[in-house]
Amino acid sequence: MIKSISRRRALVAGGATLALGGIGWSQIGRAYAQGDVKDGGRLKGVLRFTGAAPAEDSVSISKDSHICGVGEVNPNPLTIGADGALKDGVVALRKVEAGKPWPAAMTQPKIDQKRCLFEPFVQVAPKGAELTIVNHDPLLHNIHTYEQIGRARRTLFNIAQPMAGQTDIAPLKVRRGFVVEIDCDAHNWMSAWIYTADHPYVAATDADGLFDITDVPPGNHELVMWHPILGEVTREITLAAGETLDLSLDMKA
Amino acid sequence: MKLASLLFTGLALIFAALVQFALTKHAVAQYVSPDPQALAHGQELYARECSACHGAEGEGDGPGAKYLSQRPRNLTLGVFKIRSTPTGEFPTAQDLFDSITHGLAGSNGAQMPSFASLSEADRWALVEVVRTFAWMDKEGAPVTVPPRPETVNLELGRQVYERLQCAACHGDEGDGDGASSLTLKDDDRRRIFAASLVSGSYKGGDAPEEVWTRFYTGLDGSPMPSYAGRASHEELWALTEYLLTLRAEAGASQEEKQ
Repeated sequence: MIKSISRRRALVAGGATLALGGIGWSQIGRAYAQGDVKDGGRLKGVLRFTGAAPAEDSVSISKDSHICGVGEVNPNPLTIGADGALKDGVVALRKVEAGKPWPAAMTQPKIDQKRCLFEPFVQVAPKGAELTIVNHDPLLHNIHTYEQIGRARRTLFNIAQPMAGQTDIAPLKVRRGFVVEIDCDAHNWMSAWIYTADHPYVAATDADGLFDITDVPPGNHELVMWHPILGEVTREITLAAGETLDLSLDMKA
Repeated sequence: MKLASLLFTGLALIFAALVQFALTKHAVAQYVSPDPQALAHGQELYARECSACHGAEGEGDGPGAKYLSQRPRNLTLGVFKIRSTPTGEFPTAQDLFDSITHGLAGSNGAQMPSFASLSEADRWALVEVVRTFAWMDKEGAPVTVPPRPETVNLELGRQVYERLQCAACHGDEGDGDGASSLTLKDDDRRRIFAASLVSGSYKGGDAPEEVWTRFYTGLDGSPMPSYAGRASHEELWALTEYLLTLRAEAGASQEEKQ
């Protein structure tokens, strides 16, 4: 009941600020301001996994073996390289209101379905970006994207691609969260993730666990580490003008 | 004079900070009902008619929810199966009104009853409540269903069923036993089964136009994807006629047996 009142109040307050401020719907959730970064710093380093690996999930490839092969697949693998280097992690700043423009390469996310697997497994993209989806397999895949909101998830879109060569473009209309989960209902071992951000200070780690984020506005930032099965960890960092921070970050199960 | 202007600036700054706070706290566009009176009336009705299943806050967690084989919709997420709008879009207000009016009865026994006994004004008031729960600031744009062709091409419909691989979930005979039906999950990660297309009633209505729309827009929140652009409008009509015919035949043979 308390929640109900607070939500109603929030609605009323929201309406009042809108009316008083004369702000349109589309401008809510202030846009990230793109521009030159003065005395930008750099965040680079390695993300590692420490501790005991969690139990591996395993799903049988139960159909379409002429394309998908046979055996067992871990839909959400923990890929660890030398010295605990964690692939498919994401390193991001939580909130940046103004900074460098989005590099063009980051604004065109794409996902391929090949031999009944998604490629890539983890990538980053701007919130609202148009995702290009390609089916390379001569059978039905359905690209089903969800926004994660706490423990809940909500469908963003779900598009059938029954033939090889079919391409769709659809927006990642994330409303409240950051994480987009992707699966294929026709093949329950297929899984992929997109970490969406309001600003370009976000990177997916490579096979060596490395990340490199440049032109970061100096100051205090909340740093987020995320991985599909390890969840999210945050810590505070301080970046001086023009400073390069070489970070060694850890995630545990 | 100086003091007054200082005071004014101070107040303006405080106001700006408040606006900023409100906006960052609720980054989602906020839906404010255009008709506060209808909303207030709807909230009373909702508490009486809907909250036992959908929960006081619309989160699908009312006291009755645990007794249902399929979880009542979490209305705060803004995702609805029965829409006239493309996948990923909000439903129209009319879609919500229709679901409230007709209820949702599918082949797997979903239990949302019809609320046609409520007055039209009451049902529209409930639409406002649902839109507010999900902060639906706008309606999706409905797709236009092309007119039903006068000629029926069942063979084409059968070919489309095959080409679109409907059987992967719904099975070769359309009774919901395809290979992938065994592993389907809904948005809540709960087990869900592919609907039988040849028995019972369709969740989104049995009218041919409604069936056509389900293929075109998909059923968001369930594994059923949108087939927009995957077959021509005529082919989707042939598919519609094919399934309606299969269902009518299955129904007839069922009656013969009894």
